[in-house]
Amino acid sequence: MGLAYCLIFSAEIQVFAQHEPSVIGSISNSLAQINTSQKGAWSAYNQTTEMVTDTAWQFGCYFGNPYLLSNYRTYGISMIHAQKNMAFGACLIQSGYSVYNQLSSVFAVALKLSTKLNLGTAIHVTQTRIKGLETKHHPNIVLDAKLYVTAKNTCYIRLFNPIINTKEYGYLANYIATLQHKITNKTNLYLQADIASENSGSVKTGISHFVNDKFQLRMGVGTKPHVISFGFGMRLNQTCFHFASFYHASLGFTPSCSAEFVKP
Amino acid sequence: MKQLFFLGLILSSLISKGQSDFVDEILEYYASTYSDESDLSLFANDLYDLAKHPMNLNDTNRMDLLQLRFLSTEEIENILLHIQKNGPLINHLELQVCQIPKFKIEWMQQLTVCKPRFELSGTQSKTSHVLVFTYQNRHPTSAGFKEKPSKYSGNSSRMIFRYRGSLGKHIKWNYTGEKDAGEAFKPKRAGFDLHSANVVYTGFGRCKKLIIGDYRMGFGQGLNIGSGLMNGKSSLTTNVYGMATGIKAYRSLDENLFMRGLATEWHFKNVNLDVWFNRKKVDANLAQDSLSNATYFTSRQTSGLHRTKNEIADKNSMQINEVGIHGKWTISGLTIGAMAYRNQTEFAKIERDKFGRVTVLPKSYQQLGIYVKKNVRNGILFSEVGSSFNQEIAMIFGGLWKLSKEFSIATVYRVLPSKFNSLHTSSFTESSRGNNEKGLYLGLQYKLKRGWSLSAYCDTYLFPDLSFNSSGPVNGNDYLLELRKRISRHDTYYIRLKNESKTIYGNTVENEDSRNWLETSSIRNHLSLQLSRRLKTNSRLEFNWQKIGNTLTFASMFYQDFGLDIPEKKLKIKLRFVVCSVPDYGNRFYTYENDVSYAYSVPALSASQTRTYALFQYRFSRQLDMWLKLALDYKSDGKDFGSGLDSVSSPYRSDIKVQIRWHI
Repeated sequence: MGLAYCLIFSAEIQVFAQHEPSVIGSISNSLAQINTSQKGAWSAYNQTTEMVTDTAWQFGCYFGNPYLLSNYRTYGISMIHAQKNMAFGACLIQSGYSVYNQLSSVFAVALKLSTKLNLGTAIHVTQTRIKGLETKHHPNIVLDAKLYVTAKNTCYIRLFNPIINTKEYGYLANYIATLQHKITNKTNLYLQADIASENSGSVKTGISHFVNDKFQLRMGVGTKPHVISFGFGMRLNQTCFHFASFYHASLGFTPSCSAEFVKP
Repeated sequence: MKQLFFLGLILSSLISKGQSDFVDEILEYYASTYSDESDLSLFANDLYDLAKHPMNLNDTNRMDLLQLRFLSTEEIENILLHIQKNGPLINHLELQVCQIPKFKIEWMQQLTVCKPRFELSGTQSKTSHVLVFTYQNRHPTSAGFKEKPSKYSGNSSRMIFRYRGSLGKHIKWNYTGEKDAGEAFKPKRAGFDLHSANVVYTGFGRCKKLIIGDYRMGFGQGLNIGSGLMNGKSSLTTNVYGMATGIKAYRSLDENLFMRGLATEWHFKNVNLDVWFNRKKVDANLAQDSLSNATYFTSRQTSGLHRTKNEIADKNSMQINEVGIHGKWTISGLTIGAMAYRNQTEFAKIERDKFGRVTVLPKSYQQLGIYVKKNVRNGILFSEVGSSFNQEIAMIFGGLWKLSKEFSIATVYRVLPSKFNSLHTSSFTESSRGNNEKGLYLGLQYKLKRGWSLSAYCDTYLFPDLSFNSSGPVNGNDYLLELRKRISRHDTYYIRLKNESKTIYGNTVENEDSRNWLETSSIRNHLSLQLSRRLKTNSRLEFNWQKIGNTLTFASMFYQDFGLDIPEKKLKIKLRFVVCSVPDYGNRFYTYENDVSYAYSVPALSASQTRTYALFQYRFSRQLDMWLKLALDYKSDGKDFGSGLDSVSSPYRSDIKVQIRWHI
């Protein structure tokens, strides 16, 4: 029995490690969803610079089930309002199960400084509750930059908690650099290097491909932990649906789905 | 002396046809996509068979086309679709429409024909015979031969005799005899150590095939029954669909991969039905229970070697009886198949786990399997499920899609429980055991511009239960990235990066609980150039690194090939020089070598050594060919070759192989 508890606990630690400090659930580790995560309604959480778009309003909701654990769920809602060269966003994400819960509130703002550069920032206030033990609040700061290097190459930089470095619950500094290369009009290649302050870096790579103008297929691979991810996005008029999952050999699948509504 | 007489007898009576160079080319291409010790003998035999009896592309199905393993699943589907839409092929050049590269079309021209479906050719009643004799020896001989008295029952030569005959297209027969080094050749008794023979009838009507003798088979994804030629991880990253070739005559030399008895295939409109009966004696280690006097077997001996007293004692020590049935229904892109068989061994198996617990497995078991394949738009979805009625269900799911003209992806997810009965399993797995594994594979191929193409795969897997060489779960990840440039029709360059990592455990009682992470990375550069009509070269430079914990070892290897064709002298020469520096067995390199016909060679270079070989092929007449292969290894580190009875205590080791082929 003791061993079983140990296994469950270690699995939870793993799940927890998946969630933070980068971005939540399967979105974070699945390059399959890099477009979902970096663009669209979830950019308030994942890449604030992508909030600056031509669309006035974007609304999104998200559901994920880390490693298909029976009562472990992740839910989220988000909203973005974009004006000329500027955007504001907010989202709420809740994850956890009966005795452990985490709620993140995110407020983000982004600016288009020039045709080559977007900057963004966000504050993530995360409340962690362990039933019967404690409840804690942690502020986290995010700085994002998007640089159009060439017509085919775009670079994203994210600094997560560059000044706050809280060891508790693993909210450590984290630096992420992503290169997006447009192979063809239909296909994008992504390379991402992730350097955490106390761990050695991890590398992720992924590819997204438009099968047609309404359907996009995505897949990716990440190291530390080794995961394979895959998913697709589908557009129906003003609504987009995304499905993705990543697979860890020991822990299994983490499926997630999200929907977005865009109001021009 | 008797062997020399036998060789002389063969030599004196040979007459025949020409050798097919393209078989070498295909094997080389195929071997280059795999980086380990893949068994190509079955494929090599299929190719020689097809060269002799080309397949009619207009009277073929997916199973037949799967024999052409150099074709990708997409290319096979394109051919079938093209024939279905536009009617029978008139010329091989039509295959260009099916997006098949020119070099593959050239190979297909040698292995296939485009004839009307039911045309009776003028050669229907023509009888043909092929005799092939191969002799192989090594100097200096290994320690087992040098001991007095010798530990082995026979001499150090290896001999193979093949006879293949056919009467028109419909009846073929085959005999193969083999004696390995160290095995006895007894002319007055059995002669060779291995005898394998079969007669095949390929019919027109409902009975499509009847085989009496030795045969092999594979259905679906090979989860329940695989022929030993199923797809695995390779640089053909989207070739994940199972190479289930149905029932086929066995013509190879592996002493375990075949079944013996009777197999037949029937065809009724959209339904194919296969029935087989297998009765075969196998090698097993037997043990007797001192209390009950019952006999059990502890393990199967699968080396096929019968040289020492113990090996001879295990030879043919247990009988297996098996009967099975397979049915397949195909309609408009959907294939549903099911199979069931019952296997019975003469003795029950006794298994002892790492903790000394003993389990007696039943003598007989039944296995049931179902598979589905569906062609969807620009893709294939497939699945197979199997169970041996012990509440353990194994599953494989997968798909491959051609998303655009340039971009294809493939995926396979497999779950094979540790108690799944995997006696005939030969499916897409990391481990050769065929059970105790789950994992996910993702592969892609991208055709870039100007002849460049990109292939990549990643595979993450887990062996959840203990196995004979691990005292805990094993977790592993494999990655491959290959960039290939087709410079011209015959010239190719590729660079391949590969990374494999997995958990390992200590292999002694003291440290069996110690857990470590093994990581191996390699970079391969390969350049093939056709310098002139007569001269072809291959150059390869490869490096690898192995890291266990904090220990890092580095190895490098370079080889240079020259292939010279002198048609006016009826002579072909292939030369290779290899130099490598390998500090540890884990850093070893596998390199495909040209060999005599019906054979393949992928030696492991596991030390700091040089290896040189020369292969000569001389055509005496249209009926008679001869091959001679001479190889010399030199170890610069002064260590012995091999270990135990197989060790050779000399820095030099030479091999000679002679083959004579006579077509009647």
